[in-house]
Amino acid sequence: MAAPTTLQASPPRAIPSLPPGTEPPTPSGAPSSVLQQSPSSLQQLCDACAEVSSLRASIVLGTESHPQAAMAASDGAAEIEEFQLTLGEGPGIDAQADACPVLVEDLSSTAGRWTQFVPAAQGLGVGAAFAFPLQVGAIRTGVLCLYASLPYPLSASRLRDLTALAGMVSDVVLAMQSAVAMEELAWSLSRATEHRSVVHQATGMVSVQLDSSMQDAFATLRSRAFTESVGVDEIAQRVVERMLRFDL
Amino acid sequence: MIEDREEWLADTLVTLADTLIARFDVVEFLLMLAERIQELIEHSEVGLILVDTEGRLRVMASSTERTRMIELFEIQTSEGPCWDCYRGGKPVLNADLAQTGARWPVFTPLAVAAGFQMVHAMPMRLRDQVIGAANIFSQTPVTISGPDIHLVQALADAATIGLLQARAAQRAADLAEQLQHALNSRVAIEQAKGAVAERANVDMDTAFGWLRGFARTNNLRLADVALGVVTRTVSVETLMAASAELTRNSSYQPPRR
Repeated sequence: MAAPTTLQASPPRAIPSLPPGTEPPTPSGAPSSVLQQSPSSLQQLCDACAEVSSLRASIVLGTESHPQAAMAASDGAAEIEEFQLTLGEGPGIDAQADACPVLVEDLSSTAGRWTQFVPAAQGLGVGAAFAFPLQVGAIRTGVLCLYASLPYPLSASRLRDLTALAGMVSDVVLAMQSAVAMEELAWSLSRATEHRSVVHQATGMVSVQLDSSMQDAFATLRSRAFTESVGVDEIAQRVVERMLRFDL
Repeated sequence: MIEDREEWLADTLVTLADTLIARFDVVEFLLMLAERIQELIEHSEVGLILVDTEGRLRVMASSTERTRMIELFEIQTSEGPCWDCYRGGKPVLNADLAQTGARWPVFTPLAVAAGFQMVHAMPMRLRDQVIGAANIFSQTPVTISGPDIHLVQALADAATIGLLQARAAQRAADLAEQLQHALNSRVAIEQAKGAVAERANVDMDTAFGWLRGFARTNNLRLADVALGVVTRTVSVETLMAASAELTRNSSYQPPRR
């Protein structure tokens, strides 16, 4: 097992070992969008999560067909993540599979869940684990895991902060995968209109128009909003009213 | 109008219990509750709105799922009956839109333009925390009073229980887990509506009807059908065929629109 320090600032890599029978996520088999980001940006994002939360952090990116295509880990989180992915069980695996956050405030009271992962993680000094799926509806890009050294009760405000962090990571990953400029991302986030249903409806429409993934359709809407200096919801409204198409 | 209230209540409870036992579909459960509340209050539209972890109001279900209604529920981002109910933690009852112009300057004219006269909001509570609200907009100036208030509150409470899947939610984390899951399910449904509307060249309301009809006849969760459409494992042609089949079957009542 590599010492955690050697992993710092290293590029995301393929997962070293996988459960038997699992398709190895080779770069050639991975969807191209997952690999589009510059190698160091995922690591930077992960390190930023660790810094902001004061917890160990890991980000595993993947799609439905390749759930573990790339990963990054902050200082001390790589070994935990390797255990989780090798064993094929743990909060991050469940969060991704069930599309719902898995928040374990005390790893010693998991009532027989993850019989192999829990002792392994405890051996690495993990007391609590929080896994957030990086998801916007049907767009599922991966999972953010945060690990605390001691049991870690979540206050309402702490929970809000971590959920907001996961939301931001999800947005940044989406932007990375669609090669969206960070200024476009900043623009659309500052408008805070992206949770309106019309935006998601338009995403679905544009994905059909472009025969693209939802990620790319969403990025297309954002990009247009940025170019026209309007909110994403305004662009979405035009799409839904069939005043604007992207396949012409 | 409900003719036999006792029979209606019994039927509602049986349906709720049924939904909780079956493969649980949180969105379908909330849709069903919204429809039940709508039956209770004459000439109304009902929306169930949740507060996400970042304190934003998010529409989870509405009685007719008409796009125009969802938008009206959604505009209450910083004012309106739902917002007041969430912030104050108390029901907003019998608010006459003829008199709320100053209280809700943005919401009032839009609601009036949509044909409403009276609005209400009942909190969805988890112990002392308000997690959302049942929003009721009436097209007539009918007031809610007495037993109806308790019935609506009971249905709003049922929505909370359903959302938490009857788990003993002791921790804030339990709610966050379930809430995030429900919100993502709802977003996936909106994305799928868009995909279906574009592929079949129909409006969002028709697209929704097909998705829901297909989920019901095949005993699938609405969110799973939505995911199937998005990942293209469920084709739009399949949805259309299933919908045509339903229309032929006279015993089936399609979702009202």
